[in-house]
Amino acid sequence: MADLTEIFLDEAQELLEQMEPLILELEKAATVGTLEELFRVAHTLKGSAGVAGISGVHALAHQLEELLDCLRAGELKMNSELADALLEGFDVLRSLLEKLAQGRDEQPPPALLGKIARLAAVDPAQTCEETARGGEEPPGARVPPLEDSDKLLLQKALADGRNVFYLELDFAADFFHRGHNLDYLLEDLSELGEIVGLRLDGRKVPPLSAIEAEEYYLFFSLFVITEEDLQAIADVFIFVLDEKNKLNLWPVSPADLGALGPRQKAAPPYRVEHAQEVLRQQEKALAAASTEVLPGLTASVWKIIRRVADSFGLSCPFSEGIQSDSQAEKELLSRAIADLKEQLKEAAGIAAGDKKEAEKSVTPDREAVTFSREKARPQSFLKVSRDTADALLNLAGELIIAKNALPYFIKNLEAAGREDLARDLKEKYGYLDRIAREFQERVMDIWLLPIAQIFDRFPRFVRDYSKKANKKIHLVCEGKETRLDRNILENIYEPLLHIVRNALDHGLEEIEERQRKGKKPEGILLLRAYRLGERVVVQVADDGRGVDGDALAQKAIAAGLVSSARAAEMSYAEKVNLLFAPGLSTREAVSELSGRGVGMDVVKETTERLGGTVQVESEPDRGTTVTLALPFTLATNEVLLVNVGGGLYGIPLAAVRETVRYARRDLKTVRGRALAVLRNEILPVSFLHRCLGAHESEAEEITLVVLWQKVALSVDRVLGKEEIIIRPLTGELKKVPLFLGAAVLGDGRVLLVLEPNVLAKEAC
Amino acid sequence: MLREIDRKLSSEQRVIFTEPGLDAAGLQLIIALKKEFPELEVVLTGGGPGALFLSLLKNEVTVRAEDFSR
Repeated sequence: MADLTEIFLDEAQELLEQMEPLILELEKAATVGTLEELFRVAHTLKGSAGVAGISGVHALAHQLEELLDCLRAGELKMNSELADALLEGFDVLRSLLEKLAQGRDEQPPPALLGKIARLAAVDPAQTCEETARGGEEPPGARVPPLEDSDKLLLQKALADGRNVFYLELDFAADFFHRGHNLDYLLEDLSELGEIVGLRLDGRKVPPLSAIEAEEYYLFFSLFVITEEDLQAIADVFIFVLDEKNKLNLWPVSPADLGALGPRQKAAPPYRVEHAQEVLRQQEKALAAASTEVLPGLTASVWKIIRRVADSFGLSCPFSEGIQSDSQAEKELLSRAIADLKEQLKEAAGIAAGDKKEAEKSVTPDREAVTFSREKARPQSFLKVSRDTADALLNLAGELIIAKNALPYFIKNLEAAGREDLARDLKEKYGYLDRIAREFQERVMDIWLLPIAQIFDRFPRFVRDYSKKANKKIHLVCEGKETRLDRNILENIYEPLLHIVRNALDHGLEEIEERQRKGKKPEGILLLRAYRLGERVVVQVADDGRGVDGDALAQKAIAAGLVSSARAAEMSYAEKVNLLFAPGLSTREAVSELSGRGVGMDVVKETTERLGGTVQVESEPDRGTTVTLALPFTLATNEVLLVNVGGGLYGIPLAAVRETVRYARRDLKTVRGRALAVLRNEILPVSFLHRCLGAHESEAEEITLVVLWQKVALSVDRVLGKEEIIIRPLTGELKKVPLFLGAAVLGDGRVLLVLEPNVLAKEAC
Repeated sequence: MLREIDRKLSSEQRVIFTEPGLDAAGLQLIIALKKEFPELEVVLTGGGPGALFLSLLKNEVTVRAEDFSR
């Protein structure tokens, strides 16, 4: 694949990730900020596709950009149909990129292009209606009458086939603060054509005694006669425009001259940080370009960076065309780009208010510029293969384990009376410990990803489902920034999808049913994630009808999973837990139920395979909450070291809720099962000695290790915790489900690690 | 600084800008000046950038040199 295409694919992927949530946000509330951001994404995608020569993506992105531009100009109003079209466009873009990754630059379906084009066409009746309703004064109404000489000049230009544009420069008070220079802008404009009929509205300028010298008060209007197109004119202002600094720009036809202004066509707004991004792209393109394409590429890069320099009033430090070969020119260009980036940083610094005077400026402005400056600093990335990342993670884990051996040596040295050596080693160990931990944290950064990567897939899913099922659903995502191991993240999407689908299908009621129950018509679906010690808790909750325990029990009886007598004794919570019974987890079985159940056994199986647990809590007509508790990483495990009958065992710390000392005489026995009562919570107790066939002490006080699954394990002593790498067992031991694996401790001893999910089920 | 200029100007009849050329900041300063002191004569020095801006003030100021081209 060509290097440029590869670069484009990387960037396009990032842009697409931003696109879908923005469309969904826009559908909910069409704010200017969201619209502008979405427009910027579509515009950048179009531009990048153009540079890389990807015609299919370019064509579709261009159409979407046009549609968004109509929304920005107020010619269209956001509605469900538009959202559908934008989302369809997004889907096709994604598919085009997938094809491109396989080496095929496919074209978007003409039907979709036609549909978007039809939507983007302005309905004149709608515009007239809005004007008649007394909307905002049309911009053209502010156009001052033209002098006859200017009018003749413009008419002649149009008659000669040249383009005429009318511009209004509506810049904000902080125009100077931001380091913009109107002289340069007009100079750039005059390089593209002839400026005619420049008008100044100085009404906002206060008298001298009230003026703030660093504030901008002017409003200009002008015509430009040019051979260039509208985009080229707009591009002169690309680094000035934002929400406050506006440009009204539209083409002028012969009919417009002498009449009120033509219909507004706003130029795309850009922010200052875009300049850094543009330069970064040029750097990447240069770095990736082969010798054959360099001659053509360097010319266009020169043009682009010169425009960046001009737009900021910066000096382009080197000249093009003086190098004898393209390789040398490439190096020169790279230096020029680096220099410009530095200049931009400085320019941003001035705009941010480095001068004392600027310190007095309004805080929000200063914050905004500071933010731009941060954003402008490009972060460089390096591609690392998954195998390398895997190996790094394993090595980091091994390093932690290896350094854990040192405290044992230190103890041995102390025991042998070599205090001096022990002290030295302790000091070195402290240093090594710090480095090893930081190294592991850095490597973990590669592997820990925010759960937003999963949660962000649901808004679209829920939106499409609601539309199809005629249900109103409000999706709430909390804790999207919670990070967890990439390996876990990749495995929990399917289980979460099962749970969400069940909530939508079976949990949340139709509008009418909710109203009958006195509920709000809009059901709530909550996705929440948070870190709890060594675990990441992920919850899916709804305020729907809850699980129908009796119907579930009937199904279980029919499936032969429980007897009628047992079912009659079951509490509601026990019936709810039947959801996880494999026999009930078929679509046919649950489709007749009012509750949930599809694939819940698979959910459980997957969660437990990852070292996690799953729980369901439900209340009829109040809703259901499914809680997954997952280890936040699979790289290393912290285990609780426990002594049971003289043997040493490990229990994954992520599975442990707490440890408590408990008086043996306070244990209760119900139906032959020992129970402990902790803070009014009844917990079944398993004696690990019995599970492991070890000698059980008769001590009056026992130690209970309470698991998240609400089961207490009785052990002799808790010895502390240690970080280990769990290795799978081999041979006969592999067949014993009680053991999760084994690990070698720092002092060389082998530790058997117990499987908490099995322990929770075993009653011993 | 502006307040100081403002105080001094109340007794003056003419202000001469000696720096050649005119930029946007100068332009709005002259407008502010004329708003506060409509009778004050403003004289600009020719040369330097800003011919476009000068054309906007042609009825407001006196220009000492004709050459405003860059």
